[in-house]
Parts: sequence; C-alpha cells; structure tokens
Amino acid sequence: MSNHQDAVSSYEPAEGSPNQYSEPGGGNLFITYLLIALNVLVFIFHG
Amino acid sequence: MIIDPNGTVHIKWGSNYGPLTLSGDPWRLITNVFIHFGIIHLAMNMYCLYIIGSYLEPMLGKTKFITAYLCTGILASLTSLWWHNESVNSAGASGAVFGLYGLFWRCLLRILSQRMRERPCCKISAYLLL
Repeated sequence: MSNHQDAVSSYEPAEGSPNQYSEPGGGNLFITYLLIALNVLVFIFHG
Repeated sequence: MIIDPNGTVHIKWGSNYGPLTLSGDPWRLITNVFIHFGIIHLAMNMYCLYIIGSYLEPMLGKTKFITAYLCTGILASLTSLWWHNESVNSAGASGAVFGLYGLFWRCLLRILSQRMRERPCCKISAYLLL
C-alpha cells in the first residue's frame, strides 16, 4: 500500500506533456493581468 | 462618457473605423482591441479575459498566449471590416477573447483525442459527453 502511495506521489508528467495540467488561476498570469491593466488604463485615459 | 460612449473620441484613440483603417491607418486593426465603449463593455470583456487567461496562459506560456491574443484580435478586426459593408466604428477585446476561447476548445479537443488513443475507455466517455 505504501509503495503504491509513493508511486502516485512521485509521479510528475514530462515537460510539455499534454498530461501537465494547471489549476485555473494557480499559474503565473502575468500576461493576463498585463492585458487587463492595459485595457483599463486606456479606458481611464480616453475618458 | 463612461456610460455613454462618444464615437469621435474612440476614432481619435484608434478604433476600427472602416474608411480610415482601409485608407492608410492599418494600425487600427490592433489598437481597437484595447479600446472599449463604456464601463460595462470593459468590465464584461476583462472578466471573460481573466477567466480564459487563468486556464490558457499556464497551458500555453506567456509568449504563445500574448501572440494568440494579438493574432485573434487582428483576425477579429479584419472579419469585422469584411462583414460590415457600411462604415462601422468598432472596438473592444471581444474578438480577441472569443478567439482565445476557440483556441482553448481546440486544446481540449487535442487532449481528449490523445486520451482516447491512450485509453479506449475514454472513448466511451467522450461519446457520452458529445
């Protein structure tokens, strides 16, 4: 049983593998925030 | 102005106004993606961008995500120009955001087809889903 748990906990999908999922909002959303900030700034400045 | 948009101001800021875009202002194809007609238009688009960005940006990475956003934005602007024969003043991130949702759907389908090849039992689930 413990071996099974070890095998599960040590599993990591390869880089770029389709099995490598990300939790929504859990990753780095730099570009998303940048685009939102840019849109809001343009809106504020054009009145 | 925040609730009631003024078209002249938006044209000055780079909205996609057919007669100007087609007569020497091609940069309007990209600038209009960052201009919105009112606070509700902006809020809804930014909410949708946040939702799709939180899934797609970690999936694609920064460079591919911003490239996809700009490309879908330009394609949406071109489609708007082609669709409207009369002079229409258009702006907003809606086209770019819808393009990102389309790309996300395509990524999901690719993952699903790979899973179906790896595990035949997923095929049954896929048929049930579709």
